[in-house]
Order: sequence, then C-alpha cells, then structure tokens
Amino acid sequence: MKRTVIGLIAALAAAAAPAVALAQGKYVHANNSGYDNLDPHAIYDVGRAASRINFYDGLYRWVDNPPKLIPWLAESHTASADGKTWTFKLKQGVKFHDGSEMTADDVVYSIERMLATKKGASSLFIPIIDPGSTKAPDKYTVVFNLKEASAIFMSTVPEILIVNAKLVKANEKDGDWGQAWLAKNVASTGSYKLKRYDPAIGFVGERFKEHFAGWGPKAFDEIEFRTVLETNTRVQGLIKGDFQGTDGYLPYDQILRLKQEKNVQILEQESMRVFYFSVHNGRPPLNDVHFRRALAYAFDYDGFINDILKGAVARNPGPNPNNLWGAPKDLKGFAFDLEKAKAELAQVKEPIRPITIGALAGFSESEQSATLLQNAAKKVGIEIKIESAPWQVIQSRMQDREKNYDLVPLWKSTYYVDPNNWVGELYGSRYLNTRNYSYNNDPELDKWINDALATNDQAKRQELYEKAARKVTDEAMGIFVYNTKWYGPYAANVVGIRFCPIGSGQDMRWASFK
Amino acid sequence: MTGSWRRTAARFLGDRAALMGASLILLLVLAAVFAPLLSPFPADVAEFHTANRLRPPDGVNWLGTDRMGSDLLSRILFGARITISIALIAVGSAVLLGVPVGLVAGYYGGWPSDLLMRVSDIFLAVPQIVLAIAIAQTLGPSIENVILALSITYWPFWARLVYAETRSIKNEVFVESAIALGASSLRVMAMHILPNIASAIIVRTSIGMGATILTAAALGFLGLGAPPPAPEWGRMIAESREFLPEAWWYATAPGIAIFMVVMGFNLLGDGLRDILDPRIRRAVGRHA
Repeated sequence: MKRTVIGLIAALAAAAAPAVALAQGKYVHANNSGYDNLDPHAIYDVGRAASRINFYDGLYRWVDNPPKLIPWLAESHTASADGKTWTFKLKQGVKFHDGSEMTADDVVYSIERMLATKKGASSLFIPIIDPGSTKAPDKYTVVFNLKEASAIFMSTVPEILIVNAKLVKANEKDGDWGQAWLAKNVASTGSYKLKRYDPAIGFVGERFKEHFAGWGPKAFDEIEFRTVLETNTRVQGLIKGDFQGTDGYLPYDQILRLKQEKNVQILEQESMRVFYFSVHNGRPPLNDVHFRRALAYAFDYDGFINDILKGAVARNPGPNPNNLWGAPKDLKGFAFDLEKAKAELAQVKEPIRPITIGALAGFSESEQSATLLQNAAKKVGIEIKIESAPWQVIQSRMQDREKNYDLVPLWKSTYYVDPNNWVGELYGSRYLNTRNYSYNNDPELDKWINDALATNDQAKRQELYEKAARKVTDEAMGIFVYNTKWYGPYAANVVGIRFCPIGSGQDMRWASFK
Repeated sequence: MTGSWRRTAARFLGDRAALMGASLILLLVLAAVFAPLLSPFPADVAEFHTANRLRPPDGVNWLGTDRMGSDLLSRILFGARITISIALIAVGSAVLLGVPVGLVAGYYGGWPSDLLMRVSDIFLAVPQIVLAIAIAQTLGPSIENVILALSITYWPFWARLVYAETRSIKNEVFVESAIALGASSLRVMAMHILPNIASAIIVRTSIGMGATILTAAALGFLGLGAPPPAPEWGRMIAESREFLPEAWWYATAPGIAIFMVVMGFNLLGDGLRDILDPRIRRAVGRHA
C-alpha cells in the first residue's frame, strides 16, 4: 500500500514537473480574433498585429507611450533637403532565422513585394513610392526615392517589415511573391521563430536566441497567441492561469471584474483609439449631409459612454484623438437630439431606405452601439438592420465600395502617431479602397490632406488637419464617439509589458515572468 | 366514436406528465397572445434605458434587466411570440411537405417511392442542426430564413414516419376492401390511411415542436436568427455570455423559458403517445 502511494506521488510529480517548467517560459495570449494569415505584408490591423510584431522586424521600431521610434534593423538614416530621398544604413551581421545575413537586397525586395501585392500597409507607400525606385547601392545601404515629400514617411517606416528575400523567392508560385507560402510560414529576422501555426487555433513562436537586438535574462522562451472568440472563456482562462494575457477590447464590465482578481493585473495607459461609425458617404441617402447629420444626432453618446462604458472613456467629437495635435480644442461635434435629427431628416431629398450596420461579432461595444443607434434612429423614422460578422469579413467588405455596409461601428487605432492616421486615411481619397472606407469625394478635403502630407511645417500641418477634422465632423462623414484608454489584462506575474499605442502592447520580446 | 374520445380525454387527464406538458404549452400560448398585457414594460422590447442596465431581479424588474437596460420579463414574454411562430410555421410546413411525400411513397411503392425516400435519406444523413446552420448562414440572418431552414431540414422526419406507417397499413383488409369497392387512390389515402396513422403524426409533431424550438434557439444563439433588437430567446442567451457570471439572471431567464417550453412539448408528446398509440396502449393495458 505504502509503495503504491509513493509510486503515485512520484508519478504525479513527474506529470507535474514539465508543466511547471513550461509555465516558466511560455506566455499564452488569448486573442479575440483569428490569425488567418501570417504574411506581414498582407495584414495590417490590431487584431492580427501579434504575428507581425513578434515574427518580423522593420528598419525602425515603435516603443513605449508616448510612442517613440528607435533604430532597429537600421542603425541610422538621413533625408535629403527636399524630403524625397531617404537613405538608411543597416546594421551589419543581422541574421535571418535560417542563418543567412539580412542585407539591403532584402529591404528592397520587401518594399517591392508590398507595392506589388497591394495589401496590408502597402496603401501607405503606393502613393509615394514607385516600384523599382528603391535602390541598394551597397550591402548595408538602402535608398528610398519618394515621388513627393511625405511628412509621415518616417512614421510609417516601421511598417516595412523585412522578409528573407531568398527564402521567399524560392517559394514563389506563378509570380505570387510567395503569398501562398508566406501566409503559413515565417521568413524573417524577428524575435520569435514560427514553431506551430493553425489558422483555426493560432500560432506558437519560439525565441530566436540569435536575434540581433539581444535578449533580457528572463525573456519568454515561447509565446502562443491563441484564438479564443468567447469573451468569458478568455476572462475565465486568465483568472485560472490558462492564459497570461488577453486583448485590450474586453467589455468594461469584465475589466472591472478582473480588477478584483488577485492573479490578474489590468495595465492602464493613455491611448489613441477612436471609436466611431464608419459611414459609407458614397451611396444615397448617405451621400446627403442632412441624412448623415440625422444619424449623428440619433446616437446616445452619453448613454453609451457613461452607462454602458461606465465613463471609462472620454467623448471624442471628431476624427482625430483629443490627446493629439490636429484635433481642434473647441470642436463641439454632435449631441444626442432627436428633434434636431428629425429636422435634418426633413431636408433629405432622396427617398429614405432601410440602412444596414455591419457590427463586429464578438466585440460587444460594436454590437451595443449598433443596437443603440438602431433604437434611436427608429424613433425618427430610419429603419436599421444589424448584421454581425467576424472582423475579417467586415474588413474585406469595407474595402469594396459595392459590398461595404452603410455603417460600421469600430475603432481606428494608432498605426503611426500623426493625424493622417485618422482624418487623412479615413477621408482622403488617396486611401480609397484601402484605408478609406467612407467613399467620399471631397476635393477641398483632399487638398488639405495632401498639402499636410507634403510639408514639414508643423504649424501649417496642424492648421490643415484641424480644418479637415472640422469639416469631417460638421458634415458627419463619420459618427465619432470616444477616444479610449487602453486596459491591458495580464496575469499578475507578467512584468515588462512595454505598451505602445501602435501594436497595443503585443510586442512580447520585452516581457517576462517575475 | 364519442365514447372513444371521452376515454381518450379521461386518460389524458389522468396522465400527470401530459397534463403538465399541456399546461406549460398553454402558458406559452397565453404569454404570446397576451404579451402586451402581461409585460410590465411592453415598450422595452424596442426601448433602452442604458442607465438601468444589468439590474438584478427586484420588485420592478422581476427578472432583471439586460445589457441595454430593457426589462427581461417583458422581452421574454414577447419572445414567446417569436418562438411560437417559428415552431408553428416550421413544423407546420414540415408536416405539410413530409406527410404527403411519405403517404404517396408508401402507398404506391416502385421507383418514385424509392426516389422520394432516398432524397429524404440524404437530408437525414446530415445532422439537422448542421444543415440548418448551413442554410440559415447562406440565406442571411432573419426569422423567415430560420423558418425556411428548419422546414427544409425537418420534413424528412415526417416523410420517413408516414412512409413506414403507410407501408404497414396499406395491405390491411379495410384498405383492400375500400379499393375493392372502387375508391380512388386519393380517397383511400386521405380517408382510410391517413386517419389511421394520424396519432403517430400528432405524437411526432408534438415532440418535433420541442426539438424545433431548441434548434431555433441554437440558431439564434449563433446569431443566425432574428436580427436585433428582436427579443429572441437564443439571441438573449448569446448576448448574456459576456456578463456571466455576475449577471446570472440575464442567461438564466431565457434559459428557463426555453427549458420549460421544450419540456412542455416533450411531456405532451410522450403523454399523447401513451394515449394515442394503440400498440403502446395495449402494452400498458396488459401490464396494468
């Protein structure tokens, strides 16, 4: 009997041992949307940022809050006086995961690949860089030759993620720039090597020990980003210790609940993420400013912010975040007023038809705001249909003028810290079909946005962006609701989360267990 | 005939389970019909009070409030209308489609019969819920499409049942004598076969109603049912997930509503089977 007990204890200890060892070095993150593609040039959103950030490196990298740019694969850069020629000196001896050295040719291949495949962050570069114009005069020098000066070029450089040109070329099929292959594989210098990937489950990354930037003594050996669509499963898993972190989109009710848990910490950071209704300005009756204003008057901003979100966020009346320059300080925006909504509606000439909201399934704020607008709009005589769909579906429909919903309640996160990230991308026609889902055509607005991009004069830029923000708000090209704080739920024993509004704290190379 | 019905009624009243099932269904019907009168806040079906959201049950909101601050009791009562109309129309059309198919196939036999039965076999080969999800997803979320999906996937159950019953009964002497007397096929099927297999159909229909309500709720839960803000029970449970376990009442109230209705139909179905199915009745009689 005694022997059996000892045997049992030994067996239990043996079974428990690897689990403990694993828990020392493995970080598991539960994500609220799926990782359907690992190609760093095909995706560009916060929901799927983890694979880009943790598997890939850019010439520069965003860190901390307020965000700052640090040299990464590049060690320095210079810009010509006219702002068109940008020369980057690369670090020497940077190794890809397969042991080969990263050189200027890989950078050139990467930007050409972005321009050719026209996906993800490429929309930032297509207007200013011609294919074939980027040169590699020597092994460690890259020269970008812009068509026009661009005030935001430097802020967008981190989005040029460098792929292993030789490896990707070897896996190209019918001139697809290796898209089919790179969707499921990783070819980079990045912090983590791909260990396992299943689009339905997520990915596991293994620390790339030879990474050029070096490692902290306790950095995670493995990171796993798992798709867990059910909010409660993510929350319960975090409380139980199955997950060490989850997304920053949890309903505020759950944040409050997690704050009471001993083994969970909620990191709070000032952030820039504007919640708004994207409005399709390009089809009747939404192309009528009065109809759009009627909708903007029909949203219960106070009820949403103070009751549903318990005042955890601040009202943001315009497209640019309040805590960034370019947002007019005296901008009033719209308030909930059904009488004014009715008055605006009376001026609409086109026949009024039922409109459709595409709500992000699994993002309760998106769904609740849709229901709230639907409810009030009905009272002034606008029928609204709500269709919930996963983010990937919504996004691909938004990028198609015909298939786009009439309205989509969602966030515009920070991809680079410049008003162009908000008012420029959302309403400038240079970003139509890529980042501009509003399908408006406003020459005056375009001029301001383009002028602001072409100058480095900060005062001038601020003035232009403020003008643009005013016009967009006044004509209700979108319905702007709030600017958020970031609430990052992590296990209490996780330290070193280096939050940056770009990427929302998913850059795991800095973090570790206590 | 009258005497037989009186006996049946007496048996039914003596069957406590069946009686309970019938009362639960009566309750559902009453809730659906009188929802505007019974609801404490009938406007809450389409009215939000965000300041009152997620209130636990109390004297004002007997079952608490939901994420938009609407009264759950009122929404559940109005939801009964959706539930009952989905179940009635879906099962009704399944019966209207399945019974004639089974009857014709069972009566005539031959290759048309085989064809009809193989078609229904194809439907039965795929789990009903999976097929219904596929259809509802393709057509887009709406009550009409849920009803359509359920009807399309449900008729083979009746076709199979009626087919088997018809086959077993069509060589009985009373059928053959009807044919010998010159009755048309239609008359034989409608006047002689159908009444004799009616009890089996009624029992299947009652149990089928429960299953249909459960499937409809599952579709609603998956977001394929009535679009918001319709107070559909399955959708209410789906919405409540984010607020568990704190807002326990939010999922519990519609959950109990679904449970009660499905149990009601199942109990009634079991009771009716005991009473109407002559084979089981004989069996019961022998042991009694």
